[in-house]
Amino acid sequence: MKLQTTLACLSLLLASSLHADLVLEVQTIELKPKPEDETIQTDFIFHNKGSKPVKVLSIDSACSCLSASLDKAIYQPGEKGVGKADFKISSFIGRHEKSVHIQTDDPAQSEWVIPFIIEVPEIIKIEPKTLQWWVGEDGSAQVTRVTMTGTEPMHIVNLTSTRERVQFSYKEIIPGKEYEITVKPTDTKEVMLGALKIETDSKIPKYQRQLSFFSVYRRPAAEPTPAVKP
Amino acid sequence: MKTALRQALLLILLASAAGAAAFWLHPQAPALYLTEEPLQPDEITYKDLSQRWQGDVLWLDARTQDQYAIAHIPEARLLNEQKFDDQLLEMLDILQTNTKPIIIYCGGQKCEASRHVREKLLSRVPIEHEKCLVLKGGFPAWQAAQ
Repeated sequence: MKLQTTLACLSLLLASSLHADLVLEVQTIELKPKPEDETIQTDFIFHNKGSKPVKVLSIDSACSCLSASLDKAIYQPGEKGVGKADFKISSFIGRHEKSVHIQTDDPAQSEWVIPFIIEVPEIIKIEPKTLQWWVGEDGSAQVTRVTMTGTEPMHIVNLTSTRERVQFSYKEIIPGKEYEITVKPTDTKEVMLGALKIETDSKIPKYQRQLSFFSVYRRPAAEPTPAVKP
Repeated sequence: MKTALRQALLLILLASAAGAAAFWLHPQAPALYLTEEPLQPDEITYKDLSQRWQGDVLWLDARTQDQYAIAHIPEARLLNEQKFDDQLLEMLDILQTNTKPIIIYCGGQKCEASRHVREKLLSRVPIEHEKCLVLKGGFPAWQAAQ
């Protein structure tokens, strides 16, 4: 009887320590699309390093741009799994951190988060992206710099505004590489939100039209106004 | 009979002790009860916005075009990360005359899209931060409240 009791206790202790442990082969999944890519897919490998089978209940993505699937629903201890991820690039540019959340039936690992880093090369940089003035304040001209950072030269071929109450022009600093756009509101009496449409001769359709924004807006109440010089 | 009962009791005690030990010692032990995540500074609940503004807000939907097409909050405008600049361009007239608080939602509590859209929107248009918030729980929270 003592032996049975001891075995039962050991079984209980063992059962309480069993858990699933889904682990990626790499720390983070990195995706590096080309400038012209619209989507990028990748496979990733993971293991159940735990001591208990685990069942995948659902897969959620923190971004609608990223979807993922796994090759099966239940992974035995020590079993290798393969997942597929699909990222829609659309207008994403630069470095983005996204994640996929896997819900499992194991309370010890009820959610497994798979981290992704996506680096979309930037071949046109607009700085600043938004020019800003305050209603009733100084309406001096401001400058946006457009830099073609890709390997191929790219030229601005046209520039238009969505608003009439601004004066704008562009100047070529380095042909095919660097441009300056100067914008000046005709007045700052009223709120105005607008955009400049920058047309380029890029061979990649999504870079043929870029937008930069400008605003004449109400200064937020909380922000202190600068002292007026006597 | 008494011995059997004692052994059964002993087994229950040992099992309880093992369970308690696993709960206290295991790094990923689940909570004993459900807790609600605290409200972030950029978030608002549907109940709060209904009380503060009687639902008279400008809704922005940060989900995909497909999800928006299936169902969205009445009069909500689509503004997502994927087509942000183009969609913002289309709604500049609305934003220019808008005086209502702006509430952004996406697909649920795990979704981060509404937060990213809020950050991008505030970087383009100098709206007061406290008048541009994320709906806690996203679209499912709004659906649940109907």
